[in-house]
Amino acid sequence: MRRQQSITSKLPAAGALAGVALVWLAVSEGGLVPSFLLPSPVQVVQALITDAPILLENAGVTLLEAALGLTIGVAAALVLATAMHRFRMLYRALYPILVITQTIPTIALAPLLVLWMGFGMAPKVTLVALTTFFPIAVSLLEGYASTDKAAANLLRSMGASRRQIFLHLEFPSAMSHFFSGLRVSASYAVVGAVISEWLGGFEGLGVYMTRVKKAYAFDKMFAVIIIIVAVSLLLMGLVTVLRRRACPWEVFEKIERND
Amino acid sequence: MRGGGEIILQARDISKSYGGRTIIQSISLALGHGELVGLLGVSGAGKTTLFNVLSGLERPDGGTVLLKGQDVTGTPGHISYMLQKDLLLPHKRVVDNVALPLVLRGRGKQEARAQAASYFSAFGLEGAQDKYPAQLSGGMRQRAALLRTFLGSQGVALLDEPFSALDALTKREIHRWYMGMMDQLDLATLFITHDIDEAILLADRVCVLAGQPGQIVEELTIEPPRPRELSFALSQEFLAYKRKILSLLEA
Repeated sequence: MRRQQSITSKLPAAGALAGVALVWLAVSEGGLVPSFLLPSPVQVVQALITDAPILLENAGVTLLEAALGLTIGVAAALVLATAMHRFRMLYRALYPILVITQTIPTIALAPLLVLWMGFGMAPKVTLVALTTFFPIAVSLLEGYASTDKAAANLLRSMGASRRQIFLHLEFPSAMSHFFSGLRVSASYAVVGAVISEWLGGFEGLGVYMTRVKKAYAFDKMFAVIIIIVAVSLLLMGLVTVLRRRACPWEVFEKIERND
Repeated sequence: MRGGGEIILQARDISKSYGGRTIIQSISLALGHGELVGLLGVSGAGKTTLFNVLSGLERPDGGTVLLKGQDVTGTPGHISYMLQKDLLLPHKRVVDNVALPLVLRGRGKQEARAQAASYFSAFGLEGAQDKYPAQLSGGMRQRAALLRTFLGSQGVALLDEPFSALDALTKREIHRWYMGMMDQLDLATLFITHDIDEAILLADRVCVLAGQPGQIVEELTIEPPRPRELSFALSQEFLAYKRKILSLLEA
């Protein structure tokens, strides 16, 4: 019953996607736009198939950078947000800095990181960690702050220590916020990795992309874009799976709200 | 006093003020073993402040709280306090919610779970152990919250409007059940209510809190033994109690 519902609810999105593909096909095959500017979907699929081995190899590199950077970003955000939540002074001191650093554009940082760290994986992982850190730290801080005050009082009346209130109430309450932040960060992670690859490196989807761009191989460009989308979706899907695992109660709350 | 007259909770001369305004003044009350006492009062009379002091969440400006003769003034963790909402934690299974006060006291998780589970059928919660609170009905959530309060208690529970969020039918059902439970559990209860009928129907004694600052202006002993049938609510005796309380609250 619920399965059927979820299929019908996805129909409009699938239809819209098919519509876009059809318009694209008509525009390119109908000769409205020359094929060297806009390859047809058929050409793109062909490029995807013939380039599959090299695309997958590069995708693996990019995914590794994104995942490593994301892991570091998450770990750092967990530590810092928790410390900022625990110590009010630290929060007051660091929160403005957190916000300011986020206004620094990623693209401006990437070349610096390359200069400092060379052409290997380090600058890519660092950039991903920097860009994913903030949304997670902020959503964790929000999550901690959104804890039900009455519930905290109840635990205090039971004689709970600060540490126990954090473990039994504040941390689990922040999980929904945390995973929302992680989802956003997962897509930032892939984009961040690709951007830093543009600016110098030996492998990865970003490197491959600059190479095919120089060759004006637009069909291959599109194929890379599709792979980037796929990698992002894969990472976001992984976050959703993790979230279901870590927060099994959320399913029931959603049912309740729908009633 | 019912239950042999042994005093389990005693508050002496409690006063508390915030920002220069005195909320409650010189409140003294005692709760006997297994006794059920209702605390009635208009809004702003300081009922919740009194409960915060009794539970140890707040330290009174003056006065002492004694639990079985031991001074527990301003120290939480001794007297079980159930706030207005059921406040079950959405991320914990029902059994873990209920066992929480035991775990907070340093009891092992498995042991706490087992102890909690042994009361599930008495509280009408069979089969709910591994569910999440969102999967329970309002009445069941309330009973789960009551069980948690009971497990955390050392013979005394404070309930702040425990039944006010329930619809009339569920409320009546829970009243009947709670009256039955009380005696089995050997639990002394002090409960806040806005509902005069509820207070007379359930309590051994009704304390009326009124005035600014709030003081206990009257303590009425409700004579008929518990549990009382609903027909009691239609008797002359019941109406006489109600008239008395109304006149005190309106004064």
